[in-house]
Amino acid sequence: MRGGEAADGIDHVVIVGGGTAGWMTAAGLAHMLGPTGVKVTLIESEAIGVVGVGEATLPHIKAFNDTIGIDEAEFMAATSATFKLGIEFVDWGRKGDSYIHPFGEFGLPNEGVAFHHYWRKFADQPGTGDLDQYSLPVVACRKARFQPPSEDPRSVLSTYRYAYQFDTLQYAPFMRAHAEKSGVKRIEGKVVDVALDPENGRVRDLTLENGQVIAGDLFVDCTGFFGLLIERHLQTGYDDWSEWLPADRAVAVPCQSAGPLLPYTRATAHEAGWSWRIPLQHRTGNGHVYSSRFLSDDAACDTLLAGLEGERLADPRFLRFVTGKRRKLWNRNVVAIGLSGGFLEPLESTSIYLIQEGISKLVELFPQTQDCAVETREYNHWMDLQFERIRDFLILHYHATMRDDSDFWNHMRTMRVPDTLEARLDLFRAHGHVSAYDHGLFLVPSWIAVLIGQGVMPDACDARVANLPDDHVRQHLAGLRGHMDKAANNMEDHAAFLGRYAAISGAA
Amino acid sequence: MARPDHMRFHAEIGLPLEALIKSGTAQPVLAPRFPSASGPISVPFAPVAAPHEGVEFHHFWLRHRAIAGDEASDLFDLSPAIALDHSVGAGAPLWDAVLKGGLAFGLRLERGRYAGALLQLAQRAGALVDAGKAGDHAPDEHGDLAGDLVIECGPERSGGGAQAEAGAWSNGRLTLPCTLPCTSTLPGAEWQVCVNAARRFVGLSAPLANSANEQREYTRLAQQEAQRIADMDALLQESDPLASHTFASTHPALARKLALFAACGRIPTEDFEVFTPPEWLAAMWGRGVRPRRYDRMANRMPQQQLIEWLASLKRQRDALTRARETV
Ligand SMILES: Cc1cc2nc3c(=O)[nH]c(=O)nc-3n(C[C@H](O)[C@H](O)[C@H](O)COP(=O)(O)OP(=O)(O)OC[C@H]3O[C@@H](n4cnc5c(N)ncnc54)[C@H](O)[C@@H]3O)c2cc1C
Repeated sequence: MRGGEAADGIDHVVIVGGGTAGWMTAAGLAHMLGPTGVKVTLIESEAIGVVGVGEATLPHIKAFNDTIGIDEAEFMAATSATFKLGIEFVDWGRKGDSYIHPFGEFGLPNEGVAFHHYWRKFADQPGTGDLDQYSLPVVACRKARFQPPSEDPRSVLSTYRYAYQFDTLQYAPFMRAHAEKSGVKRIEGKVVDVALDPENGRVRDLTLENGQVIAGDLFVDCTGFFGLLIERHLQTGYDDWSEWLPADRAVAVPCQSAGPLLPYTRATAHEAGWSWRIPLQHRTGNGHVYSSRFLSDDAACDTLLAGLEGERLADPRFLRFVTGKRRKLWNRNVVAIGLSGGFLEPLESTSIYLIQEGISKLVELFPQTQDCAVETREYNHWMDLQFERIRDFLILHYHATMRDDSDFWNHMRTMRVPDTLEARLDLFRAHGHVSAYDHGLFLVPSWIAVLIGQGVMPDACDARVANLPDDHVRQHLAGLRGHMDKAANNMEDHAAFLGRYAAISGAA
Repeated sequence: MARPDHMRFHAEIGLPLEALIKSGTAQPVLAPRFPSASGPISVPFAPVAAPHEGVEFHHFWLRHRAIAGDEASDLFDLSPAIALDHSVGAGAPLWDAVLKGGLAFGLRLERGRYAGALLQLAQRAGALVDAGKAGDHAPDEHGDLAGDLVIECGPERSGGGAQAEAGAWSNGRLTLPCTLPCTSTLPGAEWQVCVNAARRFVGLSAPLANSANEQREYTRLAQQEAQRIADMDALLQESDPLASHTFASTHPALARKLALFAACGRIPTEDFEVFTPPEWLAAMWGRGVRPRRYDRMANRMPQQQLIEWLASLKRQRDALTRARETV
């Protein structure tokens, strides 16, 4: 029985890369495994720099921050963060449409039947309103309001969660300070050579530009799109999913804030992609994600600049990527976390979530020795499932559309999608039932939000609701809508809440 | 036998636990005994102790044993569920202890009375009950029974017509997975698959004439569930589960569980598990599968704290044993 040291033991983790992925991994491993004797070293190169985008997150990040002991108020101040209750999708189903995918529920289930069936019964009738109006986080978004959720399950305030929108250039340094406090050793330098053990093909050590050699037991590749260890040296291979997710470029530019400080990210569909708008305390992040098969860089940049709400604060920056994932995210003694492991494009802000999943799974399975083929296999199995389920959800946004105003949308609307997604769509279209799973990021309310938001309307509602008296259902709908509206009105203005936040949390 | 899910199911159908207790229909079960190739195994519903900072108790226990070298003790010696379970059949005081103890428990049901209670509820809700055997009804020219949907609940299948695979819903016929032989040997499995089937069917409610997609989804879920039960059965019945060469192809999810548990003591779960991780732990443990190492995160707990934790669990177990003996 082993729990401690061994001859081929794994006690020293070397992380290459100091972007969001690198510093989150360093902080996570040092906090959770440091007390068990694991030493963590991080190498980063200021000369190379970071990708510098990635500002919108999902609610899971709060659990990660809490686990590693980050104080929320301190974190928000240091990263100029705002709260996020969901994502608004504009022009996706049809031009002129808008819906919000909230971090929470729609309505409340009644007699065991999900709320959207009640809504569906009268969706075509005047006065019913959009499904959005029955979700507290959506109503709060539309009113630019915010309040932390309640832990009392009887309260309507317990029907949502929240995430953050933060300045990515401030986030990595914040995590760095936290990680260094937990004992992470940082080395500045560019890795120029990687030595593999000829016997087993594992990475043995890394050589920096200044000649310094750094050995380790386990290496975490956080070098972003470079994939320095996992691809350039281990040649792991990549599953290219651009057949379904053809966006391969982005252009990003920050601008001055304008208008109310919204507690949500906006994703607006364009001719051959979409643009993001992420409101931060001190500025707004913007970017246009597109497919170079259908749109030129210049046209993409023009669309982005034309849509800026405030004065531009920097020159536009172009980025290239291929959607997909590494064939094995853990190969030999290298684990790829962050962009080096794969990228599914920024829609729905899933990358930082996948970084977190990578870290927690690694901690759970952290091997004692190099004899860890089973742990490696399990890690890859788990991460593959995560990537694949997110992939299907992202494809849905592009595929479930009525847009026919460009070659891009015609292609996306008519393309063949994975069978798993096709079956889901068929099931939902019939009577509004959503195929569920236990392990995966996007749960039933998320699927409902996007399906209905993009105009996939079930042919009929659940038979139990269809058979209920009309008055009963109408009352249920009206009661809930009023309830949501009132609850949102009682929330505080998001900007005002942020202004008071440090004081509130100090007093708590 | 009903699994701990009885709390939710009986609340859903309006059958209060007090009524089942008062009428003598139900006795609590905390650790049913599963038959296995190496003899019966006690499989408690509740874990031996709650996880600490996300790490399951057995990792701490393994750490302690590695240090103390106490090879004679067994992980399940400390199980409060097993300690309490021995008092089954002792009557009212036992119910008190179970209800106060807060441990997950199932119900050993007196079949006739339980069926009677369900029948009453069904009739009250409008079900027409015919005491005749299904075979008494004349099948139509396709060999199907009259009615829009026939639900096959027992191993004895009704006559004629295209027979659905166990767990499937198609051609106007829905066959519960309890027609699979292993559901009757694994305590609580038969009850659970019936409950799950009812929930799944209701949850996918659609007009029967237009339910092809719902039928497909129902069947997909039911078959995954049947596979999870078959996994447990295979684990219990194989003479040496770890040495099985066929599991990788016939029971890939079980092979994954066994390999990971043996490697590092973690128990991976699939979608739609029937048995919980504490039950898988007990079953694998009972079949002699032991992890080669414990989770390194268990080393975060100071030794003294671990010793005190184990001592308090032992005291708790002793108190339950004493309570049992005084009944
Ligand atoms: C257009 C776009 C928008 C995005 N939006 C979101 C979003 O809204 N939400 C979200 O969750 N995610 C988003 N992402 C993803 C997100 O940006 C990344 O997941 C996150 O920033 C992590 O990046 P990284 O740390 O893997 O890589 P990087 O930030 O590129 O860091 C790589 C690091 O490796 C170092 N390095 C590389 N080579 C060497 C070498 N040879 N020697 C030493 N060091 C080296 C670099 O110096 C750097 O420190 C977006 C991504 C893109 C492309």
